Amino acid sequence: MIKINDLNFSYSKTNVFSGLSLTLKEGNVYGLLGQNGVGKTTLLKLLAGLIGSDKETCDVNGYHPYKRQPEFLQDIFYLPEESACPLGSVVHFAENNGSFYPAFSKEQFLALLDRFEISSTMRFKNLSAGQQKKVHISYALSLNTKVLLLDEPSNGMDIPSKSIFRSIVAGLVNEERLMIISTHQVRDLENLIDPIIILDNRGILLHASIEEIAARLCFLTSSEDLPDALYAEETPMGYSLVKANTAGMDTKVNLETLFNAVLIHKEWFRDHFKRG
Amino acid sequence: MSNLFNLKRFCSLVRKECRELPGKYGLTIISMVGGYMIALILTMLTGVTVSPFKRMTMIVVLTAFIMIFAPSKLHGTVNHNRKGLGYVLLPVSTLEKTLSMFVLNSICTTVLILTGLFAADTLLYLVIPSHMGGFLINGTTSWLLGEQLIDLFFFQSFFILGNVLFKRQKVVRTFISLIGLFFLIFMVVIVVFKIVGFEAIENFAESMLSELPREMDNWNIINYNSFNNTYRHLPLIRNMIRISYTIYVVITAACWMGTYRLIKTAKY
Repeated sequence: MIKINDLNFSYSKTNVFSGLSLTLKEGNVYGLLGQNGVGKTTLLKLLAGLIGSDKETCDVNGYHPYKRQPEFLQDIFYLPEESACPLGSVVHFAENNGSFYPAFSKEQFLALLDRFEISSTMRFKNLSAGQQKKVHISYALSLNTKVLLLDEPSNGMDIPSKSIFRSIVAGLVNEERLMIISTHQVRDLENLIDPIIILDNRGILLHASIEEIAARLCFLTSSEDLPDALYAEETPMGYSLVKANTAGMDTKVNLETLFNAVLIHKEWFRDHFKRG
Repeated sequence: MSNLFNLKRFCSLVRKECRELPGKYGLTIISMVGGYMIALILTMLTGVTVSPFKRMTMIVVLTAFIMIFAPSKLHGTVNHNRKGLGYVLLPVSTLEKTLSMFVLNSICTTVLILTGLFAADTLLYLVIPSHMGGFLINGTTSWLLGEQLIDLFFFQSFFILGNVLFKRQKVVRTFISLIGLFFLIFMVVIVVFKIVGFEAIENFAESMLSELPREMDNWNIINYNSFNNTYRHLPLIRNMIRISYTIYVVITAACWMGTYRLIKTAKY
């Protein structure tokens, strides 16, 4: 369980968060979306204890992250967008580091590598950037930590690997696990991330489950732009629209158009998706 | 499990870092040992006999080099924004990380380089004893090594602190900082001398030097022994050495505490 309460954070003169409050629960794969520079990576780093926060404002599994206590660290893992290239072979890296995490499973790590078609005996420096990313993702998932923070995990992956990644993550979600995936590639992770959190410079614009979003909005394709649409985007097949779901329609949430709609109608979304 | 220190966790960390040591610093250590052997062989080819004292001096210099560069080679990425994440996120306490840093940099690396250099020296001594002027280890050389190692542990602690303090060019920046620090101390000493009076200092130094044996101006085994036997037994010098070692201990402890603090509060 993650509880953020009235969090203020700034990099020298640049204010990133002021009064941010958020509660995240186990059993979910949260999708963290937002424009560049709104603080997605900063939020993940705060949760992992990589940057400082006040004790009262940030609580992860009952610990203050910045204290970086071993009992806290063994149940959380943060995978940055770009990871370092360790020395030696893939399997040695996992054995050497994984042994510090009580729930680490080497068998699971090897099985995940197998799905990504990467040999465990290969040296890190001989792998391409995309392959290294797959190794780091396999390692992160096989640690089986209660909280897993992934920053742009699908960046640099080829198309088949993205679908393998989705299927692996979907299979590893359980009631005790909380994942936060920060991404710009919403299409890569559609059908995986739920609930959705959209950040902007002033805080949270939207924090809602796919079910809630589908209940309040409908996503349509039309040959013409409708005047009551919250957002309309011209596509080769007509207009992709987002409308308030006044008729109780059941449509599939399109994350990309949702994101654009939220950015244009910030106040509307704040008012309609207020959390208690 | 304690969040401050757990022996099992600490041993796991030391084992992990020891396994990584050959990949990070092994080649440099081997190169040093090889370089030492080549230097000895080349010197002997010119017909010069290399005394155990000179060899031990070379060994101390090479060990100093290895110890100074060890922190940046073994733990150079700990405060790197991207490469340091693996280290900081490892579920190990800050105390365990700091102690492991000491074990790796000050003990393991020193033992490895000394073992390598001693083995190389012994090998050459067994093959060409005529040009080696005696076995490397004797009373004088052991004393020299022991004494220099204490100095090196003290000196290395600055570089360990510099390694977590500076993000780039860690060794160079630590050296520059040390030069700055010594310059400051030198200035303070000058001011003190000015207050006391240069003449009084000169008289005091002359009275001290008159008590030393005459043959002490050459740097060889006999004089090193007489240095130890005579110079160190002068009460004032003995007290000065004691004070200097106390300062060593205090500064070394301060450096290690600074390292602990920096690891604990590092932001990425």
